[in-house]
Amino acid sequence: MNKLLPTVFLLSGTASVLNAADGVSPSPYELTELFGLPLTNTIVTTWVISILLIVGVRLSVGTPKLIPGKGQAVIESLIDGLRGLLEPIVGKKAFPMAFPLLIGLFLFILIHNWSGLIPGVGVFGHVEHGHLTYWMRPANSDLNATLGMALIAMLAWLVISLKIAGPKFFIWELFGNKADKKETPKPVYLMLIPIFMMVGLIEVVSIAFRPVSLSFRLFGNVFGGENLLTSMTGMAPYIVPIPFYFYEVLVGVVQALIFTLLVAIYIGLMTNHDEEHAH
Amino acid sequence: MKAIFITLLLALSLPLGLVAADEAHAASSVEGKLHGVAEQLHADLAHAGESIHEEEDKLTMITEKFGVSLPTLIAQMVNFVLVAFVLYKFAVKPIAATLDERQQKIADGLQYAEEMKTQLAEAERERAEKVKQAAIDAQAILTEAREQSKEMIESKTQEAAAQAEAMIRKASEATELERQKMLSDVRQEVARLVVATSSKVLSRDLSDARSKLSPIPQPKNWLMLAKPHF
Repeated sequence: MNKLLPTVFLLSGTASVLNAADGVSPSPYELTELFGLPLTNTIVTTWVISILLIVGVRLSVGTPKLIPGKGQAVIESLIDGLRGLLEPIVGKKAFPMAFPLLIGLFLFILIHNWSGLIPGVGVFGHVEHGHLTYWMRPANSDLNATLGMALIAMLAWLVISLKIAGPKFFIWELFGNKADKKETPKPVYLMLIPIFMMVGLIEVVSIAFRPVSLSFRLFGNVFGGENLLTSMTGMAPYIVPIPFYFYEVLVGVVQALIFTLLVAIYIGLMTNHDEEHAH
Repeated sequence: MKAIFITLLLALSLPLGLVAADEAHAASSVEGKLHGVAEQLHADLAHAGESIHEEEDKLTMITEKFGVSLPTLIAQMVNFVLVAFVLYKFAVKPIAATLDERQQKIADGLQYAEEMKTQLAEAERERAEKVKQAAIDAQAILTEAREQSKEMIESKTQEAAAQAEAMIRKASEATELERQKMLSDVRQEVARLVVATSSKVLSRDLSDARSKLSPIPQPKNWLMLAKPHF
């Protein structure tokens, strides 16, 4: 134990210095290959943290009881809070379909954002060609992970929108003439049709770029956070980085919430119309 | 992946090209309108082609820089889907069901409490009505009892008066009888005394009168003579 602690400190210090000198690589490192597929350090982190998340949640929840224990109460308040936040945005019709995706996104992003703060992540590794190839890298500091989530979210958006709103409404919402036919003079109404078609085209482009904006926003924040922590740790390994760790805790929550809320809003824009009209 | 990005960039550049074409169209004269538009469009298309090539190069650079590759992307997508599924199936869903169950129980409890409250109010109202009715009944009973007692007092008073009168009358009659009896006794006593006296007088007189042979007077007349005056 007496030898282990100094070794850990020495290793982490060396890693920090090496990292700080190189900066965090924008791309994940390929550690090895598994069945011919690349196994990167982000995939390893994703697996480890995901298993820990699932086991942790299952252990804290156990068999849910009407009078909750401490662990169940924490998860319950999280689920209840997200349900209360997301249901009005998505609408009651789409909510049962959208909730598994949205809560999955929130928990996954939150835990993987915070995974960069766990001691050892982004620290332990081996030196290769003069720079540190670390074994674990937060999932969201890899564009593959954020883009993958964004693509799944947009695919789910498409499926939910088509299923809840229907293809007819979907097309009308994008390209349809939104002017009131009864109140608008016919020539004006006809003139508005091509304009709305153009607006629809722009809307399609905007929708097509949603995965890009979603993924780059999350990636940029987490990657930036990793760089910040690495730089600060490199400059002064003890005490000084602590406020930045707290800052990253906050960024982790905010980014998870932003990603989830944006996907919820995208779904709600397509599915929450009838309920609004009903109100 | 690259194909998706190229398609997106193409889709983005299309409305921009159209806008540029519109501007060129407005600027050209009426005679050279068609010719100008054709030239402008041609130039724009050529420019767009160059831009696409440049963008493609940039895109390749971006994907290489950030290490975006299809196998890793798919692996991360699968990871996310698996985690989301497992979390939802084994944690979120049971907890959401428990939350709903608790919510239902709370709602039922509140509804039950509300019903109980209504029933309590109803019972309270009934009780108040019954108390009120009981007070009215008690008042009626009291009034009736008072009337009855008054009647009873009157009747008893009358009865007592009648009894007293009867007793007085009986007493008078008894007194009268007593007096009569006493009078009778007195008469008898007087008569006896008279007889005794008379007999004594007579026996003495006879002894005297025998010698004289004078008649003895009738006792009936004596009695009548001896009647006392009260």
